[in-house]
Amino acid sequence: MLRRWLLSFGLISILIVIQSTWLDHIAIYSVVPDLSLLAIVYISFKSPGLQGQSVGFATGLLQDGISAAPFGLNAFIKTSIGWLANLLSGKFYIDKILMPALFGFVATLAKAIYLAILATIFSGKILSYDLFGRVLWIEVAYNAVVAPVLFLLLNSLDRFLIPLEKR
Amino acid sequence: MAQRYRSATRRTMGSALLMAVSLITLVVSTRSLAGFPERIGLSVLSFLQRGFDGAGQFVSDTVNSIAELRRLEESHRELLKRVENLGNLERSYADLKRENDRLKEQLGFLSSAKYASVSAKIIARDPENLYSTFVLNKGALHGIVKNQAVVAYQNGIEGLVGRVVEVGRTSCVVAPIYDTSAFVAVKLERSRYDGLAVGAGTSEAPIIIRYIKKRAKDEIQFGDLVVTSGMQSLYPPGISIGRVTKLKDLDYLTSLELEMEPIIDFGRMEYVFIIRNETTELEGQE
Repeated sequence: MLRRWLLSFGLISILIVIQSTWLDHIAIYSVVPDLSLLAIVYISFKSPGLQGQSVGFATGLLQDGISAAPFGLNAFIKTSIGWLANLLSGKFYIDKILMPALFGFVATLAKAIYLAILATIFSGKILSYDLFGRVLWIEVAYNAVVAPVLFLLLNSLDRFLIPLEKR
Repeated sequence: MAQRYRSATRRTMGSALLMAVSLITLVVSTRSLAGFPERIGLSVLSFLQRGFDGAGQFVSDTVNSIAELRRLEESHRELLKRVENLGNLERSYADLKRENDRLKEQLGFLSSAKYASVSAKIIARDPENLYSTFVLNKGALHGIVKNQAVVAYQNGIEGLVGRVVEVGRTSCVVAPIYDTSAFVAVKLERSRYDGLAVGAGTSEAPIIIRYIKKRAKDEIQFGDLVVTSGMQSLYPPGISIGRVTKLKDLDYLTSLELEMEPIIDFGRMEYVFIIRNETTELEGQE
């Protein structure tokens, strides 16, 4: 249990680092896919209990350290999206392309909605997406395209991340 | 059935607890009570970022080395020509400098020393698409403190990049001038009118300059150079920021609004210089 948690934490931390370094080379209008968010959705959907949410919380705090976002913002976003994904756990069959793409699409929109709500509450302190701006829609599309590939890669790591009965 | 219900309740309660903790952290941090945990996170992840940046650089350098060699040969030939021209220019420059020093002395000006700076490499960008900060490979260990100005050189021109907003042990976070949180006191170099530059959030969007007096309208030309005014203690005066691309004279505003294109192309920026300024160092230490 602890081993799985630590491996998930390590993997998502590496994805955050890749997101902030290498992915800059494939950015579209300075927008990069949110790999860590997609990985949290995958782990939360496939794992029972709090594994996805708690890893999301811990890696979110870590991400806040290197981001200009207020401390706690990514922790909240990743925990709550992990919780949403966990609610759907076992209710869908994940195929190779369509469902991962849909998960990437919906998770990014959910993130945008959470940010909009938080930006209203903490006015001026938190940035939110412009509904008609290109950043949101490029990120939504990018995450939807990247999710099937990432889910496929994570699927091959299931034995390290997901409990046996849920694989 | 009851067990499944209990398990679902437990998961929801656990998630709610984690969300509550992160919300409390958010409340505290938005009131600027945080700082220490962020520095820890920055120090830990920047260590990894440095490694990933190095590995990425190695791969890209290896792949590009052949094309680079050809390019170097060409630039070597060009540089030889330039050295020849510069030799000639240097002689006339020395004469002009001597003349300038003489004139300055006559006018009673002190020869002002240029600021000291520390070079740094960009090792990572903000992982969040909404934020535009980037991480440099220099930190408190190299004498970097919060609010120091950052400049870069492109095509032989020095341009303002932004300011240090967070400092870790061996890395720091810089908010660029196009960030929505960046406000820079500026001056139009030719007409000497003051204004305030505000970022639009992305490097592609122009920077807006506000509070320029309406009477300056006839004196402003497209392409006018905009420099730091030095009115704000954060940025030393006279650093180039950008060139005027658009002028808006809106009836309902009491001042002009200008759009400016930054002098620095942020997309191809790799190395920068952090200006070590005594005033900001004192402020940063406080």
